Amino acid sequence: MRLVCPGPRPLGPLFALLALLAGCVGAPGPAGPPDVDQATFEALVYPILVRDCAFPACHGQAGRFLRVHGPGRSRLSEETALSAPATDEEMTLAFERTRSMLASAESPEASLLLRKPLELDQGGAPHMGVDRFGRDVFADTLDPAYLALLQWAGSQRGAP
Amino acid sequence: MRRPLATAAAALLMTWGVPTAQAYVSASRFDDPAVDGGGGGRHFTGSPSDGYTCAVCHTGGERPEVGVIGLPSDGYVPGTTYDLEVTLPTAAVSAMALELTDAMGRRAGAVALPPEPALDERCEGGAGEVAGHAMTLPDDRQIIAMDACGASALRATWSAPPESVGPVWFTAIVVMGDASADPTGDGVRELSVLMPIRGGSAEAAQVGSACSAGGAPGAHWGAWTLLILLLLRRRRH
Repeated sequence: MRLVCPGPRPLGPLFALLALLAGCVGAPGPAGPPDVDQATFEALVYPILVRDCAFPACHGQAGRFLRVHGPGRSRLSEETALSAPATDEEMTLAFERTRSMLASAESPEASLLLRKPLELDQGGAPHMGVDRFGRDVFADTLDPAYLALLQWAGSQRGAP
Repeated sequence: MRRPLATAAAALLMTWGVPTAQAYVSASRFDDPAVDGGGGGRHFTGSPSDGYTCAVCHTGGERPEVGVIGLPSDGYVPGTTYDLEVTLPTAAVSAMALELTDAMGRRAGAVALPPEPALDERCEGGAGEVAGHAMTLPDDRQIIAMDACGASALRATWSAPPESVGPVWFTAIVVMGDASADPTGDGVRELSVLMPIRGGSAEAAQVGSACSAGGAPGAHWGAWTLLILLLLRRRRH
């Protein structure tokens, strides 16, 4: 098998149900997505996601929960040119889906967003998106891109 | 749009007149920032230094037939220069990237294009510019890339490292476009050859490498063997 990413898995409805249940309980509790900063996401996180995750065969697929579209990868709308800059809709979708990957975590390091792309022996979680040598996106927690995700995960909306 | 109109116009100009199915006009775009539609430094050669291949984007098409001549697959001799040739489907518009690294992903020796390219190494069936480019990246990786412009072959010389660096990976990725404006419908051929040092064993390079779902070449044989054994066992019951 050469393709590094599997087909879409039906996790979207599950997350949607969880989000709905969380909403029924009342005010967002500790299990909800954190109120992280969107400007930091756009400057720091989105470029990493487009570079490492948003491939059409991976998280650029419509069926994925963590779904990222952007230039040179796959587009949210067929009317958007392949190389055109990210649209507002694409950025918002990427932000909300990525933010949701931080939910239900005791700490940013324990979130799916940080654990899925990290090697298992470094504390990562199982992830089908390994390369053809079986390596995950981040070899360890010292990877600059990992640290950038961690920095954003700990940020607060509107914070400088 | 998130970016100023000028940036959008620049992006439009960069893609102007590109009739192929490639997301990138040329291999040089792989160094452009990802948010500008570039590779963000990834070159998708499938080598140990960048294990992703073009197949993460280009999908759905027939895999092109590709030939490779001249690789010392039975073992390389340090300090020796080898003449390599990669042949591509003549009727298709195909792009290619190749790299030679050691098991750790470090550059192994040096690759260079011939001083006088043949007609089939030129764009537009021999009428255009030379299709191949040799690139040395900031981290010392060396990649030979070929634009999707109608060339059907690429020759290169590989000077093996002067001293043994252990087994060397030759990896090449060929994308055959379908002339659409997106990466769907494109076929990808992924080539990998692990070359031992003459008289040595290539197996040593695979020891300790995690061969999983996207595993290195040969990693799937164990799974097939297990599946066949299970099927035979069920038949006996």
